[in-house]
Amino acid sequence: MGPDVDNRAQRFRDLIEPLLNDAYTFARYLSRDASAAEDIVQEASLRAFRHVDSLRSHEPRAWLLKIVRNCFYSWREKMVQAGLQSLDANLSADDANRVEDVDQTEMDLDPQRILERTVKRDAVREMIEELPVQFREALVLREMNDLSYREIAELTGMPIGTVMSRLARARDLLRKMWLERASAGVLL
Amino acid sequence: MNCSTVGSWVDALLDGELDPKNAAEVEAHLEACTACKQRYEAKRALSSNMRRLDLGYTAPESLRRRITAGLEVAQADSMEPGSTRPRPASAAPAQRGPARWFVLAGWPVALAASALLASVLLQQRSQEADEVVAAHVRSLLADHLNDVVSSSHHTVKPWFAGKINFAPPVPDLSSQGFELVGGRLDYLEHQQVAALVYRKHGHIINVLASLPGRDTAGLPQTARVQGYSLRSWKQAGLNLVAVSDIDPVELANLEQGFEKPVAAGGEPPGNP
Repeated sequence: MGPDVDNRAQRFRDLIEPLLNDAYTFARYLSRDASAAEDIVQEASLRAFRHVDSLRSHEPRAWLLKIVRNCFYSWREKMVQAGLQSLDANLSADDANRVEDVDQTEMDLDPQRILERTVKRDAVREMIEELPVQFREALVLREMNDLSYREIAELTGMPIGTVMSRLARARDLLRKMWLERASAGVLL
Repeated sequence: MNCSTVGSWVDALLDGELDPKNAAEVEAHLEACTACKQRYEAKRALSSNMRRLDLGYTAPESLRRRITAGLEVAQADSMEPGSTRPRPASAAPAQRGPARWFVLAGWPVALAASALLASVLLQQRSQEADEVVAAHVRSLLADHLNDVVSSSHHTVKPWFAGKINFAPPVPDLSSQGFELVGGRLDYLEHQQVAALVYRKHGHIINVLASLPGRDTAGLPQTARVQGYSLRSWKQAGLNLVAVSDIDPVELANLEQGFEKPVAAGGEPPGNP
């Protein structure tokens, strides 16, 4: 095996492999489909392997997740072309408008009560999956992948101000769903 | 700073993203305004609840295996053609390309009278299996999986018309748990083949359909190559071979499904 390829394989093992859970988590929340997430991460890993020589960044996590994001959007494009999964794009516009209507009074419930509620992981995952994609990705990158605003901005190509407001809206919307479900007894 | 301008700065504060000056301003407002303070506390609770729930996923073992397999192919592909360095044995499925096939074509002539013929045929057979596995692994590099993406056999089957000179069977096997994902054109031993992609329990299964080739030694009915299972059969004048990392029993079930589709939407295989 050539030294370059050797070196590349070693870099991949050192830098990329430890991040596969992060990549899969991001792909899974974006695609909302376990099998598709595997396809996306597989493709992203291959691209990462091919370009791992150019990874100069001290932040391989953001670097890899950017590739995952690109692979997700290619996948989604294919789905839309095939007439599948156009749902999310339509939902996004509606939900984006709906977020403006988040009732401020609902934010005023006693935080302690919310804090003390025991919630099931699956129920919360489902709620996150219901968020429009641009809010979902900001939230997942921040809360699950632990990226900074600057990293999220670079990764998504958005100004930091946009990242900030998307994250705020994502949390507003998630809280609204959380409270609705809690009061309906679905999520206690 | 007031209630209307504090907006998403609340999130930036709890994420520790504000510089000291802005943080002090937001904090001053929160001290003075109960409503905004509660909003801040509520969001902080949401964030810490999310983190406590550990909402991330663990990459499945099947994915790690697929990545390893895919990289072996990529590694071998990235080596210079004609390189005299020995390739790693694990990269064997990637040994494709014209050079190798010229060598193969020469062999039967040179060795026809030789007692080695039997072993050459055996080797050719295993190389054919390698080819099938290589096609499978390549397809798992997601860009390559499908040319037509559809779970409907009414979409996938007509797609092949005009692209290939036979009509592959595309049974609906959803009742047996095999979900049709799509189809594509692929090459096997320089022959165009129709690849149908099914999925079960997250495992991708490629079914490659081809016209019987002139020099095909024929695959064994079942084979294991580098952790992948193969199952081949003949149907309606076509050679079919299924390949996957799924349990070989499932491939047997798949073959049964192809030969006797039971789903209401199924159709007799082989009809154009």
